[in-house]
Amino acid sequence: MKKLCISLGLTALVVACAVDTSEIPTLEVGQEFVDSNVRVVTTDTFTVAVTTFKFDSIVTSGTDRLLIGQYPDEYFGQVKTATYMELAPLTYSLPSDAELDSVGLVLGYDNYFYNDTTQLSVLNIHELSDELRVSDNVFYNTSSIDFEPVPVFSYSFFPEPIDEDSLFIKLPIAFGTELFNSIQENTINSVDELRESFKGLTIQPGESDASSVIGFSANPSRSYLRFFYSIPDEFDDIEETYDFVISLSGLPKVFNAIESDVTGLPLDTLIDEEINLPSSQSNNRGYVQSGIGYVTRIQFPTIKQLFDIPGQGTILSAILQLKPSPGTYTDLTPIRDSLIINLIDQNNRITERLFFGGEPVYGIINEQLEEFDELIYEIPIGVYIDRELNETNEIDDAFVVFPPEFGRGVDRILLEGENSEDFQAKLILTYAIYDDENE
Amino acid sequence: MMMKMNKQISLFIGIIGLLSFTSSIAQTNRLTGSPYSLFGLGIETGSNVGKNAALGRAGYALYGQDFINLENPASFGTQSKNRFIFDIGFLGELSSLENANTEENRLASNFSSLAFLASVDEHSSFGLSLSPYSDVGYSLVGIESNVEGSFDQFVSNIFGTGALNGLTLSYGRSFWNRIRLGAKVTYLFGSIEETEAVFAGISGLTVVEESSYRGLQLGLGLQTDIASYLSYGFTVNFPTELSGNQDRIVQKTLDLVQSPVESETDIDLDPFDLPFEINNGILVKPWQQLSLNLDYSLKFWEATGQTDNVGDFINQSVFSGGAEFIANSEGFKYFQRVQLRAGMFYDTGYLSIRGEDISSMGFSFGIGFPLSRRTGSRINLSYTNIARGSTNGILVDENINSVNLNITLKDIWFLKRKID
Repeated sequence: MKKLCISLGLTALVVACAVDTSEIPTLEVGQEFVDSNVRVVTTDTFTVAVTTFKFDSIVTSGTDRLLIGQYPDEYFGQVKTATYMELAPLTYSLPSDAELDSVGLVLGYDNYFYNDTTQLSVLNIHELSDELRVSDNVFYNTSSIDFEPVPVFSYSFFPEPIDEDSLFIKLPIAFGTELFNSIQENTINSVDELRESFKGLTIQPGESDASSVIGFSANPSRSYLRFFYSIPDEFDDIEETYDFVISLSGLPKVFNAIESDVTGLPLDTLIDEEINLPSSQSNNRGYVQSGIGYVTRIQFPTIKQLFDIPGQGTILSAILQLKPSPGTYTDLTPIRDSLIINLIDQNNRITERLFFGGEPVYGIINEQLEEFDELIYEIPIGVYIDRELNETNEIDDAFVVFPPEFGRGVDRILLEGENSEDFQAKLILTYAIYDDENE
Repeated sequence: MMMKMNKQISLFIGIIGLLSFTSSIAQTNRLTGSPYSLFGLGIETGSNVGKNAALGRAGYALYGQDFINLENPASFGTQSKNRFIFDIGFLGELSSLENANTEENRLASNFSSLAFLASVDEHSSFGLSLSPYSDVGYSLVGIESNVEGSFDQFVSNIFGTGALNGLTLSYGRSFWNRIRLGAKVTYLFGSIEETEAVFAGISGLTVVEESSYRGLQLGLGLQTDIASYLSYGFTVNFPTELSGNQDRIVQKTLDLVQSPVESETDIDLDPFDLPFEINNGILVKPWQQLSLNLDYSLKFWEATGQTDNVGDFINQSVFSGGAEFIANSEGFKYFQRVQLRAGMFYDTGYLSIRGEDISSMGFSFGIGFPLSRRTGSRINLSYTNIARGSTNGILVDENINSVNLNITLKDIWFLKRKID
């Protein structure tokens, strides 16, 4: 019996000591005669439906950029931007013996410009006749405030947004005298009292301007209405300044009105946000313009045909290639090197952003193709396509592409559509089939 | 006598319990590192019960009172009294793989088998054994395949582990002192897990498939002693179908985010067919000290009509031979009772890859150390060297060194001495 116990004990020991050295070898041996059980297929035959629509309005308040200018655009018509702002001082006290010497408007360039800056531009500075009052806490590109028809001053200049730091526009002293005196005499002691006599300014481009849109900073340290005054002294007068600035806190005190006249152009039909203009009716192109609100909308109506490939599979990547139409971007009308992607619902309302590995998706210029002078945006939309493929209900959603700073500029992009002769918008899918047999 | 039987019965129960416990371990641990184990249900195992490992892995005519010969159930009919044999085996395998330009070493080792035999009466006995049937253990790294519809390639790594085990019930009986007949039924079961990781650009797909197979196989055996110095053995194993099902988990990395694709269980697999086998061999004892075995076995894989992804199944022939020498089994000196064995075999293999048969060839040496004078218990140690495959073209040449250790414990060992 003792030996029986020993033998069973020995067995148990043996079992317990079973060695397993299932390390993963690193050398590559044997793979040549083996094929992967997974097939990987790439295809770009799915239809990319490119359409254009126009957002009814986009928010332009809360910006730190003043956009002013006007130019004709071959594809987007007459583009015009004007800025509206409320200006107020930080304190309402001036020395009683101060004498106003002059008044002027300082506008600091913020380096943004679009179109031809070599042409003469006009800035018409008007006083607002109505207050900068907001209805739902924001202003839109379509908002407007009444202003005095006769400008305080009309200033002509050649913009130098890169080389110069700022613009100084000397205003007629008559414009400032009454304001200056009222504050000095303490008749104006608060913003509310100020608004009684000064509601703000709008800067409109010259009516016949065909030049550019220039961006100025709205920052109080860069742009302000400055009163130069002096205090008489025994030997020499002491010169001082007193500034009105745009308040950056509280309700918005500045916005840009941005509009375009597209009469006679394909975009003319887009009078409502829910109208989609197929690229076939717009020169086989999709249109994008910041500020105004044109965006290119992308759908994949035939994507579910992917399931016609026999076997069980799943997509491993989906890249959308969009090409900016050659010849439509120049040094004066440059395009951005990235595109923002947003999902929209069937009513063309933005629902959410698209993500790639936790980060928002951007369309990026493919650098390899760029070397061959081929500028193409590539947008990784695997997560979106995966969702479209797996949705149980047919949802008529889509996504839109537009440049960054969509409410802060007038950048435009034309994208080649699905029937373009130059480059067809295409979706490159990588699809892995892991089960060939079962359906 | 009654007491003895009771003890034997309780012993059986204990061992069966152990067998079922170890079966779970035996099927998960790796016993091979061969890339060829990718095909079919893995490569045939190199482990053996008893002394067959050292005798060219065959011995259909072998029989004896002191050991278990699982190769032929007829050997269970060896005449004896109150026989009880317990056998436990281990296998260690060091393989070096080589293709046209690289070489790699892989090690696999494990407990490999358990078996016992108990006599029913003087003319018959039965046995139960658990041993690996086939082993899977491959690691194929950096397989490049073409992305259909482009000039790009994707890379995949395939790993497989698993084993098929056989739980065999054997019975043999002797007739007219010269003929032994036997039958066995084997329950084959096990699972093979294959993981393929595909890398396509920054995206990836991982497919984990766990396939389980099970089925019964029947075998019949005959041994006959033509003369005192010559015996003949013959067995057939009937073809069978192993039914299979699979659990599959698919995951992918899309746009840098990992997400599940599918998790399916109980997918029906095509059954795997095991072929009809005919095995036979002779045992010659020209002198008392020496016994020689010569064997031939044929497996009709082609008749199963199966295909594999890359390779084709071909009919498999195995030629083997072995010799055992013992100076004097009754000798007083220890070394006189030590058994010396040697063997070799040639196996045509059952796979043909792109026209190249994956044959193997091996030789073995072994020593059987007696544990005591009175009993037939032994420790058998054998070394086998196998060369498999070919470096022609894209194939892999394997050189496998395996060490088989098994302990055979015979009846008296388990029983109380009559005079304590």
